[in-house]
Amino acid sequence: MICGGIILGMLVGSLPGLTATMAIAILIPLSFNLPPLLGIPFLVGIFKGGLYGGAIPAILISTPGTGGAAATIFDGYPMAQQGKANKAIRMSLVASSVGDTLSDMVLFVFMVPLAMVALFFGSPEYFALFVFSLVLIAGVTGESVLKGLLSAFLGLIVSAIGIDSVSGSSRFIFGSINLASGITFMTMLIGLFAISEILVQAEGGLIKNTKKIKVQSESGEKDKLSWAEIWGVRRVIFQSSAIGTFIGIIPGLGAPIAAFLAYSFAKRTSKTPEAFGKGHLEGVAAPEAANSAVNGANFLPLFAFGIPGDIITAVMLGAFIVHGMRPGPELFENHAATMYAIIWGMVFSNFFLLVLGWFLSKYYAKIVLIPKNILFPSIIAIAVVGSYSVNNNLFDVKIMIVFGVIGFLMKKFHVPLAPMIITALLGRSIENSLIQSYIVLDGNLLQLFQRPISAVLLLLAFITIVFSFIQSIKKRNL
Amino acid sequence: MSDKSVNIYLGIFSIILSSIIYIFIPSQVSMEPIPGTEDLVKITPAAIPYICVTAFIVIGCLLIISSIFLNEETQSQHEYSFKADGLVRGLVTLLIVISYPFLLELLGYLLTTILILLVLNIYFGTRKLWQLALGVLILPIFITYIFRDLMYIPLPTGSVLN
Repeated sequence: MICGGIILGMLVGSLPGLTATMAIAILIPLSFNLPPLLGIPFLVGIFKGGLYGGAIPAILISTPGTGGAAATIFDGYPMAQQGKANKAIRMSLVASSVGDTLSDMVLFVFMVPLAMVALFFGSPEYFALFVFSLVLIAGVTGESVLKGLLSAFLGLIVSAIGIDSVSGSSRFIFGSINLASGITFMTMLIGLFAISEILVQAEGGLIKNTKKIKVQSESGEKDKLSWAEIWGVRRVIFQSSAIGTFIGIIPGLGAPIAAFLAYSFAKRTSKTPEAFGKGHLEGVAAPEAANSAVNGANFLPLFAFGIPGDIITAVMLGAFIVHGMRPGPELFENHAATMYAIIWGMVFSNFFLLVLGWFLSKYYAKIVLIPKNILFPSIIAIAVVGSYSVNNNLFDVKIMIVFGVIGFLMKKFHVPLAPMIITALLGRSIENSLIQSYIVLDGNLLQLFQRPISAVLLLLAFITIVFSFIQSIKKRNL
Repeated sequence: MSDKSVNIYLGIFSIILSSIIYIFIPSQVSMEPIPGTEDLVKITPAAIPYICVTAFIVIGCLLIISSIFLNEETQSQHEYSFKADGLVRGLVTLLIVISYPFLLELLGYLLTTILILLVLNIYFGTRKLWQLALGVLILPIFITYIFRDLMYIPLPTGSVLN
């Protein structure tokens, strides 16, 4: 299942305009009939394959398949121009696999201790943690803190639709039975990612953009990656993996920041900084190791606290819930064996990615050339059947289209999607923790500042929002 | 479109959204206190919607105020382009997508998907016969096989054919 996921993920990641997140969103229904032990690793395979696949178009046609692969263009594309496309793709594969494996090991070591810490969290601490995480995600994701907050509150109001689980009363259902159970998360995701992207592509001139792109690559010794070359970049791979892992633990920062940070650090610490930007192997290894190392670490706050650090872990959170497993401290109490199997699956999937990627990357390079006019109508068909199959209900398909339009407008106005998706998913948990805190603290929420953990988290949230505002004012982009 | 205009539009949208939610709260959300909070300062299921209303107003006002500090000459960090021909293409695509679930009710999954894919492929510029066959015929049959026959998910059969 992992190999199948990796092959599908690499396929989607190789296609510019399609992301690993979109791939998981539209392919989650394929895992419905599988037990969690097979379904989740399948999705993990898509996730890892999709994120790695993003490097292929970045190297070949200077178009990153994922945001995290944007920094790979700096040296990957010049290498392709010099006829070393295969070498660059394989270097990115090795760096990705090593970075991801190291990050998964960090996840493996720290998730249980962190989950045990989470067990000591009461409702007030959880509420403060939610506030801190949301402020971090809204403030750091995107370039405008106000747009981030707007997106976060849009998600919160979406989460309020349906029957309120605490009081049992309905909210904003306008007499529709279909809305009583709330907005289906998967439907919303498919709309926000797949339909909105199709509208963006159509609006941007997909119809005219059917010309073929020639990939400049050649066989021969200079396009082969040697063991000595891999050994030569080991320092860069390890330091970039450490940067990516650290960035991944902090919610909201994400793979693109890790990749750019690792690239600039690698350049600064390199013996040959002048070679960067001209087709340097270190310049490919650094961003790829870092953006992949974000993956495992990103699961740490998700598994321990049930809080996703970015869009893709939010989508994975949805996948866990679909499979009857709610991430958080109880996850290891209720599903310990399954969880360890999944995490070992994550570690082994890096090895499978390395092997499959090594042999299949030259074929995936050709996928970059599939014309969009064939690709995007096909995605609509898959998106429709995907959203329908969640509840076997055509109403969900209509909701998917509504969110497609919302996603299109958000993309056009550069309002980040991540805060909306995360609050839509966590909105009910935030509300429950608020109400429980309110009852526990006898209606005096100011007592949140008298409990050390919640006080520190709220203080950090305040510092983050002030810092984000100052940064935005400096950039003259509130 | 500049960052200044975008902030103004988003600010106005945020305030209008806030007003709409505020108007609908009394009719759509219960005002009965949540069990367990009757003895405290009352908290109702409308708490989160009211928090959102307040947040949208504050964010909307801040977006509009922030646009004052952005002059038209400020270099925009993004490209906000809505060209007329692009919008028409987007709207036509949207209309085709909107018709999809309604046709599903009538014609069922396979026929509707073949029809919609044919229209979209032709609209998106596919002219080669083998590409049309691949995108319009093979994909819907493959999807139907995977979902209906392998995963046992009953796809819409359509009222006309029934």
